[in-house]
Amino acid sequence: MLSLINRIPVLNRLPVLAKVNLIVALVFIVVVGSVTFYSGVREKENVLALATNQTKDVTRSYFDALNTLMLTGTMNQREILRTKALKRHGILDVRVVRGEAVNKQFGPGFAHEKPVDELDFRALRGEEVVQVERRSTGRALTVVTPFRATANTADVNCLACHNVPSGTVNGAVRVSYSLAELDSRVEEDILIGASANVVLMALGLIVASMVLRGWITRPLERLMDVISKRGKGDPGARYYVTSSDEIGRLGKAFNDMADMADANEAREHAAAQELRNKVNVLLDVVSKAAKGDLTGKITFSGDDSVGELGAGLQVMIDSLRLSIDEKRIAMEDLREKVDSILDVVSKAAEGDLTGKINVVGNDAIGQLAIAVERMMDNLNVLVSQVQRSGIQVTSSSTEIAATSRQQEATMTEQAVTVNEVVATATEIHATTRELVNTMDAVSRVSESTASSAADGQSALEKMEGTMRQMVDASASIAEKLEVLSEKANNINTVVTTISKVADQTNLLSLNAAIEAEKAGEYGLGFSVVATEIRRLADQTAVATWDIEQMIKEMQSAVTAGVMSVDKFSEEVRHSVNDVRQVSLQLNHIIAQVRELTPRFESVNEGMHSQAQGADQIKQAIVQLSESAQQTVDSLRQSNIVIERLNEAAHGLQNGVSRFKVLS
Amino acid sequence: MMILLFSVGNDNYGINVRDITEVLPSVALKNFPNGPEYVAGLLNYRGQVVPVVDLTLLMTAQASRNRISSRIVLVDYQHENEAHHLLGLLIEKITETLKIPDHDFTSSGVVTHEAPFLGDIAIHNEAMIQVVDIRRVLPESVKSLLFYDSRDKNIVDNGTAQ
Repeated sequence: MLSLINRIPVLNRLPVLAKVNLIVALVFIVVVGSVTFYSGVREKENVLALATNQTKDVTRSYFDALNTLMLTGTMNQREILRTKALKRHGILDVRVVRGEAVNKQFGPGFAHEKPVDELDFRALRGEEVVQVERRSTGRALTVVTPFRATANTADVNCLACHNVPSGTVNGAVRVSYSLAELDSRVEEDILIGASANVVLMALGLIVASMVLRGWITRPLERLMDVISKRGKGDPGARYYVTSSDEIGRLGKAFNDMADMADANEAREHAAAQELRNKVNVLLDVVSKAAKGDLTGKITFSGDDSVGELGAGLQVMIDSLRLSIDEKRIAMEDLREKVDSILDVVSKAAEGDLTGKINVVGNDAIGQLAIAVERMMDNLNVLVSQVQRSGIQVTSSSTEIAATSRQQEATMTEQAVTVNEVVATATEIHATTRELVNTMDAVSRVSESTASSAADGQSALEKMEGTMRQMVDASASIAEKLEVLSEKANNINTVVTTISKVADQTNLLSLNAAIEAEKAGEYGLGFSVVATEIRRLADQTAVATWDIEQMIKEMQSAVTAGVMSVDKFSEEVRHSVNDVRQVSLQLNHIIAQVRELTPRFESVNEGMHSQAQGADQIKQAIVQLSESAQQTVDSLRQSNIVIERLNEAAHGLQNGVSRFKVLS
Repeated sequence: MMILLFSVGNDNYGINVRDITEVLPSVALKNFPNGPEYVAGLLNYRGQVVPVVDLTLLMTAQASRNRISSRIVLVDYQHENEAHHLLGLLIEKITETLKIPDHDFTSSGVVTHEAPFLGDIAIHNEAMIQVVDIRRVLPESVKSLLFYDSRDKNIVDNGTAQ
């Protein structure tokens, strides 16, 4: 427990007094809290038990009152009883739950008398139900008490009125009672008790801390002051002992420890001073040797470790001086040889490979010189070869670059040309499509022309037949008119004859009249005869005149008819000829058009195949174009590569040209 | 007086039948070349050559139309007590004779030198009929032309006599 508290940094830093107070307060709070909680729970249970008993009593007394109403036959007044019960303090709800048997015997009752929830049904099954529930106004207790019909229920024979077997649950009384007031009273009590406990706890804490301060805290602080002074180097700091308890003994023990420590310190100080002097001598010799002066001497001796250290050091310094002198001579010889080789190599590093090495010997340097010389010869050969090759590579790569650039240009031109060809092929394709469409239209037109011409021809053939009939008819009319004209001519001849006779007669009568006149009185009779003859002749002449006129009219009509028939006939003949001509021409046209149709079809097929060919050409050229494009791309790529190669060759040449070689 | 009716144009004229020898049909005449227009030709009348004058042409400057009723009237021509001659007159519309009392004739009241042959006028059935005096019908030039050969007076006389 304590270790747990000590681990908490905040608690660990607190003074002892605060720690003690904290622990006491915690314990106190736990005790007071649990006691208060327990008493609260107990009190609430007691209140609930009390309220339950009270509520059960209420249900029973309600039933008794109800039973009284049954016995007095004023059951229909039972709502008064309910109203009164509802007015009692704390009662939330009172109602009777009617059983099924009662409903059957006395009817269904009021609406609130029907069972509505699980509690009601449980009660009607014979269980006394007690339930506490939490509402918005606080806790509420509901008690439902069932009542059974028996021969002796509270000295009443229920079965006298109810037609049910003994023990049947006829109904239940349900009362809901509010626990809010009781609960609030209990909570108030708990609050007052808890407050009193808290005040007492505070007072106890104050008293306890004051006592602890006087006994523990103050002496501890003084001891702490003394220890810290001692720690800071005050050798005379001592604790003033006032009590003989644990703190007092602690102070005394501290005082003894301080006295012992002072004595030890004085002894150790003297030994350290001697050791420091010897070490200073050693240090002087060693630092001289480090600076190259190996003439230093150790002036002390002794059997201790420092004395041995001094003697060993003297021996080491002497031998060191000897070996250094030998090494210096060898180093100078070596440096000369190395300088010679270095000269040649550094010239070579700057590109001058013409240097020569004049070092002889079997040692490592001599062998190094021989190897360097061989290396220089090889480098000479190699570099001069590389130089020549670099020049060749540069010129070749330049040529390749030029060639490849030319190729690229050619390919680009080719690509452009191919593109043009593609465009042309596309145009050809489109034109061919259009031509195909046009040929289709032309073919259709020619077919319709052929059919129209055939129709026209058949119509013309019919017309020709009609015309022929007309010609025949007009010919027969003309013949008949001819006959008529002939007959009229005959009549005319007769009439002319008659007319001539009449004229002669007239002439005769005239001459007769003249002669009679000349004859005077002798000629009177004859004159009458002449007059009569003349009248007769006149009548004849008139009649013949009429006939002649009629005949003439008829003749002129017939002539006109004949002429018009002739004209008509001629026209019809002309028309027949024309029709025949037209028919022939139509025949010709039909034949030509019919000849045309297969040609159109072949042309059409040719066009279609041409269109397909153009399409194929187009596709081929597009592929060609793509491949040309690809070639151009790859040429460009290789150009880039060649460019790089060229650059590399130039770089190589530059790099190599720095080297001078033996020619 | 009995007259032979004829027409020239729309007008009715008449010839005294006593001057008429015979009415002949309009037969074919021998042509008379280079003669005056109104001389229609020469007629063979029973072996005798008779000149025929177109009266219509003479009177109206229009030739006679060849109709059935166009006839040749042979007249006994005697001019101012000269010798008798037969003369043919070609006239249209000769179809009847008419007897008109002499007192029905009245003078026309008009005398023209151009047409001296037009004589009296009678009104018959509300139509005016003018008598043509055939002795004055021929102009002097024509008369001398037609009957020129007075030397052959005998022939003419003979003809007349016959």
